[in-house]
Amino acid sequence: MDLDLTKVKTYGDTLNDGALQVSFTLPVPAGDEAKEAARQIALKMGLEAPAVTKMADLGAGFTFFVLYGKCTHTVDYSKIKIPKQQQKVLSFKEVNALIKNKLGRKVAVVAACTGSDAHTVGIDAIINMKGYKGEYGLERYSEIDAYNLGSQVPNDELLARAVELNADAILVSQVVTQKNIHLENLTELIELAEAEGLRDRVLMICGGPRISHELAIELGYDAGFGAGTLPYHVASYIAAELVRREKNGK
Amino acid sequence: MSELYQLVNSQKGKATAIVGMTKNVGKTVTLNSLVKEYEMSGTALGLVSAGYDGERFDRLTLKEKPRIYAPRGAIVATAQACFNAAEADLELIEVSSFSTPLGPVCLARVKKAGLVELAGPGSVSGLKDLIEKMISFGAGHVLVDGAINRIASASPQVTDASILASGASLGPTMDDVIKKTVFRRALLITPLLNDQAMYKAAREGLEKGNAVLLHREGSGFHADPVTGMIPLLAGAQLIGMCNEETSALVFGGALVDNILQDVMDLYENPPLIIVNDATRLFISPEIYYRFLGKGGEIAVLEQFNLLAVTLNPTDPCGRGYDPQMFLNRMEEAVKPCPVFDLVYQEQTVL
Repeated sequence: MDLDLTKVKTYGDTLNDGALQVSFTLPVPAGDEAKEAARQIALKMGLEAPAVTKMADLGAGFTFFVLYGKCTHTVDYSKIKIPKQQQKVLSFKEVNALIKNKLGRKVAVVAACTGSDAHTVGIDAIINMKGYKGEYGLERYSEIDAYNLGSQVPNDELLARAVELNADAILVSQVVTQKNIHLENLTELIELAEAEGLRDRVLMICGGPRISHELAIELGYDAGFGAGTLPYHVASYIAAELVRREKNGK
Repeated sequence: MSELYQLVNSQKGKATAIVGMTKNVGKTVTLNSLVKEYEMSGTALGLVSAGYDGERFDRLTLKEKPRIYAPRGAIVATAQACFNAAEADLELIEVSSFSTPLGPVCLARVKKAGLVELAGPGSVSGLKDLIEKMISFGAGHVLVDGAINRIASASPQVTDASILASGASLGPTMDDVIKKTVFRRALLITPLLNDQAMYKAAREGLEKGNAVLLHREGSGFHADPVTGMIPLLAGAQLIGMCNEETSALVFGGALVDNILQDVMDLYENPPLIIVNDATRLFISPEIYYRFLGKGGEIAVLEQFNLLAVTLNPTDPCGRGYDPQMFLNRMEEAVKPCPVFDLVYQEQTVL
């Protein structure tokens, strides 16, 4: 089997057969006409030999399709370069040990859902003692003092509390939607921290279902955690980064 | 040579920030246009982002975004992973101490021109440091691409001049977009405090505390510095100390709605409000205009240099306006600040 990485094609049964499966819904009643419409859509998508393998009547004039076809396009895999983060993840015990041995003091973390956002599920999963998916939350870490301020916390109040509690890190949870709602909540917190001269004193971390490390960089945060994040991912980052900064004398 | 390039190039400063009213208003288009002009002029540019720029697709809307082209000889500052993945041929100069989730920010010289993704240091202090380094490595001028609606990179402590990008994605109607842009400009061009004695007293007061009350005393001013855990809290304390003799309130950090509201509740004729620079103003239009209506004034210790406004008449998620009409109306609204629609104006010249 000779795989040419400069011309990669979708795979079905044999190399380079281009086979793929798509599924979609059309707003027309199930029937022969609907099936033909689905085939024509596939042809317009650039698929060869489209075959509807499943058609299901969804009711109210909608029909769902599963369709097989052959993709005629190839991509040059050898030319793809994606910037990747490389962060070592430590376990619950390793994080506590690192903080104890390298920092020699407890780490304070202040968390909140800010602005108008009341979606606390994510931040609670990270902070609450019982944790999530069998992983303890930050409250359970012996070397971390975690404070969950709850939801709809104004940005200025969050910063004031963080200073009061001598926070090493601020965790902000936010559901960023396509229409940018809540996005400006996140940037305002950063701008406020800059204006107040706090930006370099505290690790600023954001989290939420649509947040990634790349978006965090764009927002001006030190790190960002998205869907699937477990408490020890966040704890590892905080511990490692604090140790690194202390080493650099910042 | 474009008029915008001439404006940027004619100022003496070392760094220019491009900041936006929101996402998708054309910050990177403005950057790219300037990069092209600088390339033709033979000046080696420094390029850095206050956020993350040059990626192929927008992370939230999934629409295609303008890429960033780095000409030969330019110096770029970007996270290690972006340095490794760059299409341009880059030669590493130095690995800085600023870390990002994509690795430390690296300084590199462009050996062969091409596309780059710029992932910046996240903090304004990091930007400031990197700008100085790029200049020391031979950059004739540094351009700082903005992020979303953040403007801290345009603080006079970091960059010498700024370009404000605005566009259709800012609001539901053209009127709304213009209104928001006019308000942002009004804040940015807040005048410099020109009373020398007051300026001196404010500066000296801020060295002792993070908020200061100024009272007239003889020919000068007596300063009462207050220290709070953060400047914002000191500012709130300051309100309680105000009296009839108060000439000015100096805030060392952010000025927020609540404080301005308290000042208005306290005074029929509010005293002068002083902040470090325009990036410290976090006030809503309602409160701001009400304050002005009461005869209130705000002054800064460091002036913001707004060079121009650039426009993007289309919103990638829908709406678009007639470019000429949008341009005319914005020009009228922000006069005498120059306004450019770089894409439209380039097309109409040809």
